[in-house]
Amino acid sequence: MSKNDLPLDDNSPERDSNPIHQRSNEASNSQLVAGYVLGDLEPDELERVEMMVGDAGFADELARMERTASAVATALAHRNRYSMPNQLRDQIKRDASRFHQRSDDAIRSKQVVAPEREHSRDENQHRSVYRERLAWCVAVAACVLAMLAISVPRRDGSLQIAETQSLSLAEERTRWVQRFPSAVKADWTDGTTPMSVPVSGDVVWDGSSQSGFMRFVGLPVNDPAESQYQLWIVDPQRDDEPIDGGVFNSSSTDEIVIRINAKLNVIEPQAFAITIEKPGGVVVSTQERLPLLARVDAS
Amino acid sequence: MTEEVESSFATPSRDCETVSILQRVAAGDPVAMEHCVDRYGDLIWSLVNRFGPTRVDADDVTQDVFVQLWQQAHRFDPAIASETTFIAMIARRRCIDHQRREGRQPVIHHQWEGSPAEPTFESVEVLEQADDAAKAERCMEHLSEAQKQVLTLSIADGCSHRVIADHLAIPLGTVKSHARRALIQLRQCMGLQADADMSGGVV
Repeated sequence: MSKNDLPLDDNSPERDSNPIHQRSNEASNSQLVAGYVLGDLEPDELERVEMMVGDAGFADELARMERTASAVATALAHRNRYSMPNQLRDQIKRDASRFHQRSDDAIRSKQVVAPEREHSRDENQHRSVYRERLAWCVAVAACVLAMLAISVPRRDGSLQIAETQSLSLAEERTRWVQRFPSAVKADWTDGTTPMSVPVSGDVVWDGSSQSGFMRFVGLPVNDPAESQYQLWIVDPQRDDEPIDGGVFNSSSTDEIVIRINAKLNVIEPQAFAITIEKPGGVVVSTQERLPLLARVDAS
Repeated sequence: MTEEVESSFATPSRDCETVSILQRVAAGDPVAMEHCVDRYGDLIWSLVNRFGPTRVDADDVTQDVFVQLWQQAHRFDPAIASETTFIAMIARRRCIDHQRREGRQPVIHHQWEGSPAEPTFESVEVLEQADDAAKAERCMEHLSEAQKQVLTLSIADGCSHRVIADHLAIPLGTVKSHARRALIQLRQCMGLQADADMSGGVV
């Protein structure tokens, strides 16, 4: 990965081939990435950053910059280190134990995958180091961007967490429900702006594993270029503002299953709401179009 | 300051585990989760406390950080960065998210929560492995005093650049310029070292 992979301001090939312009644009892009990590971007700068999201060069630069900021934070924290209170330490350990006991299938699957990955790395170490580094940078950048999503409007499809339906997801949900019999379950009902056609289904959520699924039958197919569905989790224990549960599409009015990936830790969900938003979703919904609502206590 | 940090950071542990704590966490090892809390708890608490204006906030964010660690542990790759850096990155992001959600700004020169940490075997080991932090400490010596001051308030204390501008009585544009250039400078300074370290004998 070279810094030359960073997207440039001007798409002109002639300009791109000019090394002076390249250096100037790289410096400009580094300024943007630095501002992004520091959280001081102006709206116009934020738009430029959005256009770079999904680019491998941007991901690499972002990962490096984020790593730098974290290293600085660690060094400065060392100057004034404090001990975590024992009560909190014990609480976190208890929570960790519960998290482990009720961890979802994804964690279990990693136990199977890990040895194969290690084996592969041993065989191709020299060739794969660069590729692994790139993959890690992209993964970290994706992770960082997902965490930053609360403040950055998402436009790029690569940042969508929720997934569209597949048979395997339906099967996965079935297994998940068996694994978490005490999970919260709520049926979809009409929201403030109901669909013109009947939509049924439910949402299931388990707090200990912070996982869950939505199921819909009859959800109108959307054009992702025009609008997308977005899940919101209402959790007064956590926050007055609903938690973003992910953006997703409907490609069929038959049964579809969507995995929930809440952006924040959900404590005690009271309701789940579906809104229709612009492509990529929004940070704060105006709730102008809220067709579906699932109240936990009403199910 | 630099010498002190170098002495505790500079020598990576030679007999550290071949499988990291986070890798064991990712594999579902419950004992590793406890070790993770013991080893990195003070670091996370220190990072969070600087951001969190209240004890309740700090408790909440710290618990969030550990939930994120359990969920994101599989993303960690020791070939790229140390566990400390990975964990600090997650902790910092959770702090920023929390601060934005609450719409709060930290108080500059606020009182720290908790008690000063006594160096323990675990915490010393964490620092020894925090190679990136040691590099950052060294590289920060090359920054101007103004850059150091702005970057500390921005990264460690989580202050917005507007708050920093008011606090230091300098223009907002100057604060932004100092902060961005300082971070880029550090990335370049650390990056050269990191590339040299990572390429040694492998690529």
